[in-house]
Amino acid sequence: MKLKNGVIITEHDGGFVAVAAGEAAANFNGMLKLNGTAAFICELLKNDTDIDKITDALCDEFEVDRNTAFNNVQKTVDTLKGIGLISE
Amino acid sequence: MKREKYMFGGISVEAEYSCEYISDRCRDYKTSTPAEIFITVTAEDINNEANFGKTEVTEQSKGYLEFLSLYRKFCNAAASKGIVLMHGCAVATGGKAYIFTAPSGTGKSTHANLWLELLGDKAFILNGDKPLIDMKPVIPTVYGTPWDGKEHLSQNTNLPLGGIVLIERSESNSVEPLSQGEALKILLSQCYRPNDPADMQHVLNSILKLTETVKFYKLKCNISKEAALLSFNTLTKEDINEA
Repeated sequence: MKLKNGVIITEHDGGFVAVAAGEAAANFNGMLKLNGTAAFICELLKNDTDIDKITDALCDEFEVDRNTAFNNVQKTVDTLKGIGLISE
Repeated sequence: MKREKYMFGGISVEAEYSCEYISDRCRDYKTSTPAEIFITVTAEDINNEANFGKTEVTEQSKGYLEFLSLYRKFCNAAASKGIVLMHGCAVATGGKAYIFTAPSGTGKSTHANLWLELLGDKAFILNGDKPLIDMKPVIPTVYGTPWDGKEHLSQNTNLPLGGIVLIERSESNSVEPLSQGEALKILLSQCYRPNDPADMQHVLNSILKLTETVKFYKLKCNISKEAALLSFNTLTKEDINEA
């Protein structure tokens, strides 16, 4: 799975936001606020990947146990899927 | 095909198109400045514009659709030059422009007209529907354009942006400043968003800068002189007399 073409992640007001253009904008016209972890996950989702690989990368980057990291990734991916920003 | 040079948002564009409608509506915006952007509006562009608007190309609608397509193509091409189209009514007074924005039908123009009643010949409508904002100057600059709404209210001039106000209808009048996050949400829904991700990135950069450099307010208002006084005093910080 990966982020659809046209998802733009940018810094704003001390955090990050995701907005959509092109293909990704078909279902989502708003903005999604992201914390640093979610922005990191989105960055990885720019290339084809899966939840396990993202969890591994998260554990490498931050001092976090695998279970917490996995849940975090799952939650972020569910949110992104819910607004149609991810293609399988 | 017709070919003409126009100046929109401080950018010279050479446009190639077929209908007289564009020539009529853009007459005040002709320029002899060498073009930075070249746009050809094709029959396919006109069809696409009809699809966007869920309408059909007819002899009557063709010119208007071509006019809309010209703006769309201009905004796509000008995004990288710091130009953003914002849906709203821009009122000019005291050497600055103030933009009232809201979903269609909320009362942008109504509120703008209250300012005109209040200020008389000290104010005018810079653009009634789709002004351009140029983010290149230190203070963002608002431009009148031929895309100026039902009443065709626009002036071919430009002024520094003094503030942006989201209008909401209410029985009583109140005004509050908005956070950068709230401002971004408004801009994302009221600014033209190019389909191409690279162009959209430019627009996003521009509107992020807008949230940092411009004051945003939410005005809950009815249709009264008090409503106009409240927004005017808040935006300009100049008290004016009741008379």
